[in-house]
Amino acid sequence: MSQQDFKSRDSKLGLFLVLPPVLLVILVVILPILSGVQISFTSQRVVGSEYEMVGLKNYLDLFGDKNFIASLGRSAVWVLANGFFQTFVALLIALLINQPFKGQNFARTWIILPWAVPAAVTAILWRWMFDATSGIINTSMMGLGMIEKPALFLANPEIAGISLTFVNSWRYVPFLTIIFLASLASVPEEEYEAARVDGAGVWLQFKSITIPNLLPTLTVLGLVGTLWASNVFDIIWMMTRGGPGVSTTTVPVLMYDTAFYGYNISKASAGAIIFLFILIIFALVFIILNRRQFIMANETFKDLSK
Amino acid sequence: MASVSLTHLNKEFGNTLAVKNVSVDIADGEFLVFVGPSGCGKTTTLRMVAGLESLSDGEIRIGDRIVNHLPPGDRDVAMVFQNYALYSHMTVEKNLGFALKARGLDGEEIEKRVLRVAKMLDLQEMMDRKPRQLSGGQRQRVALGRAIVRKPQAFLMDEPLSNLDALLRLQTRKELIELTGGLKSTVIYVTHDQVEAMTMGHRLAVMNKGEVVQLDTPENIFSRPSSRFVAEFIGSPPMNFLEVDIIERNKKKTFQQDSFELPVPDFLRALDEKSVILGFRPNDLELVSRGGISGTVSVVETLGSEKLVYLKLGERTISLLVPSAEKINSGETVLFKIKPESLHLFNISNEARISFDGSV
Amino acid sequence: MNSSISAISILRFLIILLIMFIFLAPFLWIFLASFRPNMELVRNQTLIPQNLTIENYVSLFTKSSYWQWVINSTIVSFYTVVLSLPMIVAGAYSVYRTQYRGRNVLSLFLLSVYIFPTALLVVPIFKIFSGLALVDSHLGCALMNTAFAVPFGIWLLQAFLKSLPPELEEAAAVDGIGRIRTLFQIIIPQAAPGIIAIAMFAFIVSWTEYLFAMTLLLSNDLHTLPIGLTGIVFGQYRVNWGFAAAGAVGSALPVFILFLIVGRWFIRGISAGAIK
Repeated sequence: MSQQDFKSRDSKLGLFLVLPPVLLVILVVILPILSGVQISFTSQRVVGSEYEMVGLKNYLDLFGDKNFIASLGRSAVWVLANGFFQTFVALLIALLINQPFKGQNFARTWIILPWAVPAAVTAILWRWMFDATSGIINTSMMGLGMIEKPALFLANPEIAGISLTFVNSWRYVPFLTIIFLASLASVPEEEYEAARVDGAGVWLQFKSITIPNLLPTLTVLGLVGTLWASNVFDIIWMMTRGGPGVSTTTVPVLMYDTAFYGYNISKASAGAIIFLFILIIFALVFIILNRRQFIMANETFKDLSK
Repeated sequence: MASVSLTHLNKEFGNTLAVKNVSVDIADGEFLVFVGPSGCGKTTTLRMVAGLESLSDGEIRIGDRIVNHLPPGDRDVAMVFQNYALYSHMTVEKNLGFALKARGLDGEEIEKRVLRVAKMLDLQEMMDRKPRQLSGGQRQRVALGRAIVRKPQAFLMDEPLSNLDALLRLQTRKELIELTGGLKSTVIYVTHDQVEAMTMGHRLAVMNKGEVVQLDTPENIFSRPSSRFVAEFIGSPPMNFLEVDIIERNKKKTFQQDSFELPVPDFLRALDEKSVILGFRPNDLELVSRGGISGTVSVVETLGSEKLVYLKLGERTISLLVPSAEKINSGETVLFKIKPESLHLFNISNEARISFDGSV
Repeated sequence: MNSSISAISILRFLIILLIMFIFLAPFLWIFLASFRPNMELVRNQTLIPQNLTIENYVSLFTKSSYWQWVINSTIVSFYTVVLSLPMIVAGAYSVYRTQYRGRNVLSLFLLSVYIFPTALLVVPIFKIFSGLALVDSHLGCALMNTAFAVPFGIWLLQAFLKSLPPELEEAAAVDGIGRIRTLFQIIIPQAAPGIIAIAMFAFIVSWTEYLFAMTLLLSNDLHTLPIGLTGIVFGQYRVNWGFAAAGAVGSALPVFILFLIVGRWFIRGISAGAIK
């Protein structure tokens, strides 16, 4: 006859504790999604206006809409560029900063500033720095003779996306770096010491100690980071409004524009739902492929049997 | 204080049985030590008594209450952890009184008890300090104090001395015995250190691979170990073992292995095994100038007042203790005798003790 | 010291310097710019300022609703932290310490908050919050911010909780100290750095939030800093860079001050207890 374990006796308490966040998420996410689904089946143009049910019309329109398909492509490129690039760079920086050096505390505390300020500040900062006539980047590059004409960072359709990727990365990499730093710090120093005594070089230490310990964090950040990147809206909107032309119009931008400037919230909702579907599938695949890492990132401390 | 009764305790972790059919009755006021190598199940057993591990089977009684279903806090036991588990954000005083406060005792009573325990453990000067400002020994005392102040029915101690340095450990051992004796406490104590176990316990429960292999007083376990495992584990330096055959030599039964020959003593005449495991402790051997068994000295360890001498007998090595004044060097051939009364015999297949009517 | 080791560490130091420069120099730049008259910025792009002025700040402080925005942002952030903290602590404790079926699924569910494009949650949220009379209220904003801060906050804090020794709770359990009391008087004090970190996290999430604040706060006098700032800069055809710079500095300054005061707790709290 076995009794309830020390931990699972508290299953009621555990559920109770986690209830408020769950309710909040339902309110703030699930309900709006349901509402959005409902709107997407209508022909509603503006909040409060009349509408009728049109079934899958919006969806079918979108599948045939070249703009929409193009924006899906742009979102894909955006996510690839931002999601992986940022995680990779953040990890590198974290590794660099992890070893002690003069000013390490300063670096660790302040590097996060770009993430901690409102997007508008970032937008102002970089729009000005990128500016063709008065921006510091252009003037320095021209002054040094590197280029003859000012680079139109935000006005040139070909490099606008790259400029925005840079700005977005500038904004989020510090945050990811801090998380990685924390994760790195939790690896016991003795493991590295033992490896060093055993003669393992830096690369081997990295491969067999750092990476395995970092994997849960890396996985969670990989997923969350990608989701965040795919949904970036404010920076793009504030800096280029999706332009020049449509070169930086990702799905969120297009949908926002469709909803509030194209006065077609039902179509926009449909587009968002499609995008949501894609993201859900991506997330599910990602989670299933990496489920061990997610469970590790989540587990309670085990029964330590001595 | 109360008695504690463990009956047929079993604990499974997945497919492994960490605790197998452990049944021990601990009397009120007894100091019982669970001792054994790492992984033998002693800590798991203790944690089951505390309520920190569930039972796969069995029953635990404290006093005359069955406590299996009770959460740890309702069992009225106090536990001292190996790492002390002090509340680092509270002062010593608060650490000592916290459990009492949680139980709703009134302020005066708490203060009284805390003060008394602080005096008992010489902690009065440190009441306002936080754990990180204390030395290891002081922290250990606070952990102990936290348990004492609760006036529990039993104390559970999980290797509380293993984080102390050797000298402090000896001192604290003595103090612990005096303290718990004075309080007439029921103590269940877990350690892997057999010296600690032998000096502290009224009785020892020697565990190996989840089972209690012998439950008895230290003296009995030392002089009559129930198996080769217990004989080897208890006693320092460890016992010597030789697998020998019993042959006829000049019409007398003799233990024999390679060049080692020892006549079977009279009181063991009834032995009808063909081979046995012979056990003898290093301190039960003595060097002689003639008439003994010969061996070659391989290593001599100076222990201080004695020397531990390793002798090679053919392929095997045994050890014996000699006074440090004895001049003995590596490479020498010496003769030694074993006191016949000090022989231990173990069955060659199941390694259980072979005992005889009367002595041995 | 071996000279080849020195060379690598110098290189490393330089690279780190470059990285810090990239991340922090723009702030310095905009700070300098905010003290220059707009005309100079547009026409003359020298690095060294020639005329210093505080006219931009004067405009910011007197001609715009800057102070109102700061107060509003502070109120919303305060609500956000007050709402998020208990939820994050409870949620982290629940995920980390207790066992119930579907625990893993639930924490993944919480992370689903980040899947839906925020830009399109806007319309449904507006409808729903209208029904709840949460439109045009600071509380409504705080609720949204909380929803975005909590899931990740839980993940951060439970990582920190894992670094606490399990004996702490076991000792409390054997001593008969109830779960709630253990949580409040033992776990939470021990987890203080982590809790400070997530409080700062929630504060920053709230402080920087733009989209929902913009959607939900209709009356001008409820507007938060990001809304105000965006309005003065992007609402116009020709950007007054000096003014914009002052606005940017004014918006970044409170965060800057926050970090001056409690910055080191942030990194300490997120570092799963390794820096003890």
